[in-house]
Amino acid sequence: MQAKPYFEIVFGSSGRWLLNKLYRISDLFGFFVVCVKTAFSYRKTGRRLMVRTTIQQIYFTGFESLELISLIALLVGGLVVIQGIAQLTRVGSREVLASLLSVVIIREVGPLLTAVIVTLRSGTAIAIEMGYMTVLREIESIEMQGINPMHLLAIPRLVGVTVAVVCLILFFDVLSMFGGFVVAWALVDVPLWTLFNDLARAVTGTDFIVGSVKAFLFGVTIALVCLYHGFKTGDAITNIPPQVSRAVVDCFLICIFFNVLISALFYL
Amino acid sequence: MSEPILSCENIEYCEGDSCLFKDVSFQLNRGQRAVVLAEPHRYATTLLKICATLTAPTGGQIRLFGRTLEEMDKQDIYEVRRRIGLVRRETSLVSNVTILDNVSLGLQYHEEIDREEAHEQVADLLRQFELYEDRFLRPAQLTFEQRRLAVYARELAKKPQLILLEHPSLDLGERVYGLLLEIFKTCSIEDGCAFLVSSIKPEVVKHWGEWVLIFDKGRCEHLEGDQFDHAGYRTSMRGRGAQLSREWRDQ
Repeated sequence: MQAKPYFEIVFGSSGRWLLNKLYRISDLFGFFVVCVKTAFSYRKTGRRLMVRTTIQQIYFTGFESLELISLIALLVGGLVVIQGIAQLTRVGSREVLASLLSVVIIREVGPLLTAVIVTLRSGTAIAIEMGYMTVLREIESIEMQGINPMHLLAIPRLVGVTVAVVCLILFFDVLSMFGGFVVAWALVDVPLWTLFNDLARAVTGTDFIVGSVKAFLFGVTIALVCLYHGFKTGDAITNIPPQVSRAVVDCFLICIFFNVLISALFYL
Repeated sequence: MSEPILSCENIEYCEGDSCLFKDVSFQLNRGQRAVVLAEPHRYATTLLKICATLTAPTGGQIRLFGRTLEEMDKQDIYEVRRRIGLVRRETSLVSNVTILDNVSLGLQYHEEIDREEAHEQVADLLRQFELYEDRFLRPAQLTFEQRRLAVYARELAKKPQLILLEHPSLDLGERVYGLLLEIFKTCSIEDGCAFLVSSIKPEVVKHWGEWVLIFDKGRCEHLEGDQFDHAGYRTSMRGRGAQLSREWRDQ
């Protein structure tokens, strides 16, 4: 048997890998376009049912994860301040503590950590639910009711998760600041009022815009990627776990990519 | 004569080089009932899926409610599906909502009515199917027979003009099957519903078959209900089974 030329093996497999990735990205973008198109073309149909499903999604993704988000936000806020005090005392610039908090939490850690929590909690739930619905032919049943499943299932989840993520990121920022201030007040005896004043000076309008843009993009990404992988499950129940893990990995990668891109656009 | 509800002209369905069937032509008028007998049953399942617009044929033309599939866009197809009731063997209910919400899902979505109002509208239907007492249960809490009945109730709640059924007697007791026949008979006589039923059991022809479509080795034979020979069909199927087992034994 003649061996395959070395370059054919290397370029063949790397080319296939690249094409596969490009196909997945373009397919995901196509899915997004279909979602937007469906949302507009069916905007007058089934409004009551859609509103109810959207509220349920906001409740599940937003309200029910408040406990977890609160705990993590308080701990992260405290952690940033502990590290900040430890490092800043060495260089004698403890007064920049509030700016450090705003830079680290509002701009970067808050949005990214919230996205991670929502992906693990709600994103996986969405991917599994859609996967099961596809495998058990529930989606086919919905289609036979004359209902476009993209409209009934995808749009409320997309809107619900996006709204919930925007609110949760804001909540995370506020609570982690609070946690940080309490730790700072307890450890280094800085008056709270001074910290608030420093923070008010450190946070700019751009921070709010950047935070909102990131929150919106993360929300859309999480919902979209998880729905996409859920719908792509096929007809075997064993396809669900790999699709869910693919959804989680893709969510992380795309969120980090957007995070870097937006930070670079606004702060460089 | 009224316009046929469903008409198929030279329908074919092929996967790669192999064709499941070719040149299948028939038409179904208002209030008519027909049976598709096929062995293996995959032929009939595919035909039902084609008639329900879930699968596209690879050749020929299908006309539903006077319009061909080519004339319809995606939204039109969803409109057509609202007028078709499909109960396949694997058809399932949405598992995270109650039976009441499952049956009234289409009403809640299309009619823009309150949830409670939609529930009231399907209450009679649930009573007919003896599911009213269990209306607040989820599908997993019902027996298999009840789940199947709930699927029938959901499809009838749409007030369909064409009903496609796969193995209607499957997993139903004699009494419940009788109940089902009674309800569908009313649909056929009072609302002019047309039925296309697929099965592997020739007995089904007695209840459902004004005419019969028999798939045999990819070829399709069209018979009037009274021309259908139950005993002959059974014997030929048994004969084929015996022949197959002889072939396997010889190998």
